[in-house]
Amino acid sequence: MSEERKKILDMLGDGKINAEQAERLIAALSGGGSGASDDAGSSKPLKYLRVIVDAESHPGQPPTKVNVRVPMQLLRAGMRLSALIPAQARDQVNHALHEQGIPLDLGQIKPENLEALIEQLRDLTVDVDDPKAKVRVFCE
Amino acid sequence: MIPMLAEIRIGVARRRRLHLWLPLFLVWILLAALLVLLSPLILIGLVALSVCCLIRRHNPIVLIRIVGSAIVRFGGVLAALTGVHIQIQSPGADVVVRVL
Repeated sequence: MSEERKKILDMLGDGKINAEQAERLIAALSGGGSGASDDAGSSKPLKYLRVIVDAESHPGQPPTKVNVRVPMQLLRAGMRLSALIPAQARDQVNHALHEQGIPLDLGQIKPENLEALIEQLRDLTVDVDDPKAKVRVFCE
Repeated sequence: MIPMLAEIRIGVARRRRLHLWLPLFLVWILLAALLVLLSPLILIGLVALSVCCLIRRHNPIVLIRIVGSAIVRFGGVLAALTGVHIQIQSPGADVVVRVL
């Protein structure tokens, strides 16, 4: 039994989903496709971090648009690369972050924490709705 | 999967548009060939490095492991570039960078 199926059955056992929802999720897992729902979408791994900016330019001109898509895999690889930072330099970075009011310890970012962090990004959506610019940051 | 192609489009107002397709897979092939050609030199370098470390009473395996880890992680970053998409459209310029 796959891990995903087991999770679905656990959710069914816990009463978080009903039998019909469980059936649709299992059908989606086995490639049924048509039964895929929003619940199935929440179990899909995140692939990209998106940043979309739509800013007003000078009057009479078209707006400035920025569309950035960064693969999550790149974030993971970048964080793994941070493990190569020498301890002394890491302390300096941590100190600088603390001075800026960011209590982050780079030494605490380990692969298992990283996956949890990326999983938490699923619920992250930043929407800035300004009269002159619209900014949207989200994961998909 | 490692990036195979990169597309760069740069359009500046009132000027000709630049559109480049970069075949990155050729770079990887060239790099692989270069690595094979240089492998004897790399081996000699590793032996020399190990001797230097032993003279200075350092463990050469630790150093080689650190260097190997750094190379693997940089490779991981390069491989993870697949899927990057950056598009900037403004009245003065239009820039698109895509890694496929």
